[in-house]
Amino acid sequence: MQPRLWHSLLWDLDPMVKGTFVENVPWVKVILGYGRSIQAPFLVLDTGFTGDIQVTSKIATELGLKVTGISPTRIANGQIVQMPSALAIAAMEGRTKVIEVLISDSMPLAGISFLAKFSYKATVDCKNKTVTLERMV
Amino acid sequence: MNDELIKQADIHHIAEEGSKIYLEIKDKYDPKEKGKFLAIDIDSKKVYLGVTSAEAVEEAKKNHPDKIFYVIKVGFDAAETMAQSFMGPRSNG
Repeated sequence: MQPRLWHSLLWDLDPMVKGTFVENVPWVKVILGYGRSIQAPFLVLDTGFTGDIQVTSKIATELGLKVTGISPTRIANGQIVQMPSALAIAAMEGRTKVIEVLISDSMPLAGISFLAKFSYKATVDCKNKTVTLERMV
Repeated sequence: MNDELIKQADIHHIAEEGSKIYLEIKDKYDPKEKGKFLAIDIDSKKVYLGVTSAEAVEEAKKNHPDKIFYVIKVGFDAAETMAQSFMGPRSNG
C-alpha cells in the first residue's frame, strides 16, 4: 500500500488535533491562507471569543489579507470597539472553510465559531495540561 | 496596527454610516433573523444576510468585490465578543 494512503487512513482513524499548553494557556495550530500565502500560527483556544479567528496585524499583513469588514466587537472590559476584519481560508485535517479574521494587536485567538465550523469538540485538560480538538461526525 | 491595513479601512466612517443604516432597516430583520449577520455596503445601502459573518461578507463581495462592509449581528449590540464580562445583563454578541 502507498504511504500516502496509509497516512490518509490513519488520519481518518484519529480525527484529532493536539494543541499545547504554555504557562496555563491552551494553544492550537491553525493553517491560514489567503491568495498564495499560507501560515500556520499557534492561536489561543478562547471559548470566551464568539468569532472565528483573531490575528495580529503583523500576521494579517504577512498573509496579505485585505480588510473586508468593520465589526462592532465587545472586548473584555465590556467596551465595544470597531474592529477591522478580513476573509481567509482555514485548513484543519485536510478540510477547508472560509472564515472571518478579526485583526487586532492583542493575542491571536481561535473562537467558538471556528470550532463550530469545523465540528470540533474542544477538550482542555487542565490537570494534565493537554488540549485536543476532536472532530464530531 | 499596521498603517497599510488602516489605509484600507476608514473604520470610523464605515462604522458610523453602517450603524445609521442598520437603525433604519433594523425592524426588517430583528427579531425575525436574530443571531444572523448582516454585511452593509454604506454607499449603495445594500444589505446582505448570512448565517455567519463570513457568509454575509462573501455574499456582499459577489456584488461589491472591493468594498469594506459594516458587519453586525442581528439583535445584538456587538457582532462578536472577545470575552464574557460580568458587568450586568445585556444582549451579548
